[in-house]
Amino acid sequence: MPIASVVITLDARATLHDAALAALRDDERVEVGNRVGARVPAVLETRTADEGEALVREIASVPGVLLVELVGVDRSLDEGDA
Amino acid sequence: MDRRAFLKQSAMAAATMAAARASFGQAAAPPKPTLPLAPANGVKWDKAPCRFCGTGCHVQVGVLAGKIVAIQGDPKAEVNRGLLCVKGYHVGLALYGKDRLTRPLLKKNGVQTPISWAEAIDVIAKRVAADPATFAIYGSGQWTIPEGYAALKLIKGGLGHNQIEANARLCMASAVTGFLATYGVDEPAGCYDDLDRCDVLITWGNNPAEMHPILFSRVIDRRSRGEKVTLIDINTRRTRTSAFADRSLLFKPNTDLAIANGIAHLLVERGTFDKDFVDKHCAFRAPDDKKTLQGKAISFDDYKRMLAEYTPANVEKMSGVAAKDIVYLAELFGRRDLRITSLWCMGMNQHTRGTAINSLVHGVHLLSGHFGKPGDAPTSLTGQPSACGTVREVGTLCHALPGGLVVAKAEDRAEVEHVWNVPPGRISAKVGYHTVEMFRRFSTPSDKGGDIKTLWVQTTNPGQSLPNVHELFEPSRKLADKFLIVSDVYPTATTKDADLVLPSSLWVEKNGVFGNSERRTQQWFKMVEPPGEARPDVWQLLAVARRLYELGVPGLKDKDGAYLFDVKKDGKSVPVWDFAHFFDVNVDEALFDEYRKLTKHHKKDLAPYAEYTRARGLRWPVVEQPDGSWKETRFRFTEGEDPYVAKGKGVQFYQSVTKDDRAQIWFNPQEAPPESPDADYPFWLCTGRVLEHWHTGTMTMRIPQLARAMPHAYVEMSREDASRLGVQDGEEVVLETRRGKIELPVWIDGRGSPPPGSLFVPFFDERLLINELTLHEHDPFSKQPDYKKCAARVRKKAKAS
Ligand code: SF4
Repeated sequence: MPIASVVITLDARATLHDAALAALRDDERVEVGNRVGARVPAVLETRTADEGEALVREIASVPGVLLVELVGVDRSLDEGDA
Repeated sequence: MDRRAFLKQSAMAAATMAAARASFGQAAAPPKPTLPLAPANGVKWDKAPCRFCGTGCHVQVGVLAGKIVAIQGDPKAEVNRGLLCVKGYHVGLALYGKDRLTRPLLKKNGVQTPISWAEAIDVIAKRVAADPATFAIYGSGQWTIPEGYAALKLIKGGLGHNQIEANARLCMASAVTGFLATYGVDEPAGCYDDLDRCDVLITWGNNPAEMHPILFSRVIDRRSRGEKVTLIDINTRRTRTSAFADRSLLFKPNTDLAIANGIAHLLVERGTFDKDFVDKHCAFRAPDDKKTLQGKAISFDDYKRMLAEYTPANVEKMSGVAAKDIVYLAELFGRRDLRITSLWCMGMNQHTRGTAINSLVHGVHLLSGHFGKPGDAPTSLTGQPSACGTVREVGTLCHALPGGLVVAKAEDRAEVEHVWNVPPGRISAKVGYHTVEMFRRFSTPSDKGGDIKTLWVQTTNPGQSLPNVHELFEPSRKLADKFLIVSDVYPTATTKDADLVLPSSLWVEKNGVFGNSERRTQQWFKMVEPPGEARPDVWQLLAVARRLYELGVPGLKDKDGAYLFDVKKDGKSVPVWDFAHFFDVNVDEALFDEYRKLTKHHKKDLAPYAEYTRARGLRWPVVEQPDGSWKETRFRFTEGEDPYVAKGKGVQFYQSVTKDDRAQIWFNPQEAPPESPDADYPFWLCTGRVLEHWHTGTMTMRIPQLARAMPHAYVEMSREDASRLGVQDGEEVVLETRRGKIELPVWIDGRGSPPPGSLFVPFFDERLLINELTLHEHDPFSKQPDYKKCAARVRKKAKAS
């Protein structure tokens, strides 16, 4: 069960970033934190590292998302995958 | 709270802090970082710079039961403030590919056969002792500083010649000669802080969105907060960076010199250059008949006359960039109310006119006074984590000595001989072979002038990364008297046919020190054990040096008869060549503290090793303060920032080639490249990198997530060319140059989009060796080959009958 922390940078335009936030909150694998300016901290929990990778790409393609940057990944719950 | 909930909470804390801290340049005092990395789950954390690119992000490495289980962007690191790109995020996995090299392998009867370390060291030492002059070392910008220093000292101090090179010759040598020609000293004056302050960012043949994503995100983040940062992308193909650009200017390959001259022409013609800055701090220069790096002095009027033909209309004809865009660039540079940062990397460096274009871009900044204030900087980036720290600063090149000293100068040799305690004359004044020449000679029969017979490659993969490998690398593998030694962590295109393969420790399996693109020296400690019998490269060098000493090779003794790499602890010599005792003392610290004595000469001062164990890197010059602390330098040559600038000077180019504190503004003409498209080979071929893979892919192709994300090489082609050739997206084609051919799939409108007539292929894929096709023609000063342009053709693959 990899647990990844990411920072998502949203477009400054309000409509776009509200829609992006709503889309992120709809995905149960994504826990959205408190916004800091245009940046949103989030934690991704996926079954596999591959799924985590795909999820990062998915988020990057959400309209209103400018960038997804990675902060950390913890695989200690799944040591075989390290 | 269970462990899962605890980890999620920690992850959210880390992300929240990173989001706050990542507001680069915004707050006078960013939130104080406190590490959210609780040791409660048994994971032990320590700092290290990322193993991959020259950005030099710091990571926190989490180790549990002797294995890396977690990676986090280091919240205390100024470079990345807790963020990482996709490669950095997976960096821990680079250690755990299934096919790590774990034993020395000696080719016996054509088969690589396991042997002991003692035998491996003996084989090398006996070969070298028998013929030291034909032995060479080829390393890299992934060597740690102590590794590079040990290799350099072994060759130059121990064997008394200069046959040492590093792969950084292939990626940033033209940046070095550009800096030397302009300022008289290497490496950028500015730093990453410029990205937080610039109003305009110009990327010259550069794609930081993929290659230096953490730096690029600093700028994008500013824009997302509503700051106005104008991004101008000057390139030969559209990239991910172009997608963010306000203006994307596509130029015909090789014509970037015309663009830079066009800007300078308008600044001079319209009188919008910074006359005050130029009068006080600059002089003018142009190429001389002897084609020296220093060229000849010219007057401002000469300069103006030489630029005269670079009118916007002429530049449009030469480069394909619209005259109005040249005017736009010149108008931006002509404004004093803006701060302009230029970034470049391989596009300008891997260029047969690399030194010339580097000098021209510095010149445009100097001419317009866009220099020396935060945000106003011409800055070259590097691709490797220690291309600057090891290759440029330690000087692991055939002409260089540590700290910017050179073998050609008697006083420089004497200074190094003094620090090494070797007799005068030990260091040879004869420059060795640059990379292309070294490999050419290694691939030439010994009786036909091939006077490099034994070559030791460490931490690099020339069998894949050299240009024109058919000519420069492959022949050596068929010549009986050539002996190739390779130290690496995985099997590669270079280890494949090597005579001796040595398994190396990787990254946090050893101590290390790197130096990144912004003059930042970064240290880390060993955290995990390497697999099998893998050992640090620095130990391998010291063990061979000791065996040479035992065999009586005279250069391995200093003036007092002691082993050249004598390392002491509590006043007693430690037998560091014996691996059982290698970690009895910190060898890195001993080598680094010796090396740093040589860094003051050109004012590249480094602090003692111990200072770096506490910091997330320090930017040189690092100078001791009256209170005993050590202060780094963000902006060189600028009063108040750089301790070497005299009071009242404002800006002082104190390493000036003309010894008058002036930088040189160069004129260099646009010239034709060595190979251009023609009727037989109608396309331009450009090669480069992709986000997911680091250089030749040796590490990143073993990280399943990265390999799956970008599984193989491809050729990018425009939709127009594809339709003209009747080729579909994904279809395999034959790509051919005068040097070779490969078959690979076409990608239309993929990651990048070349214009009609241009192609792009990444070089990470060992199975599709694009460097069988590239040119080895190189810049006359930097000797750096041009991987960015040669003539190619493409045809559909014949259908199997
Ligand atoms: S930008 Fe470079 S140094 Fe930073 S995490 Fe990515 S690969 Fe590593």
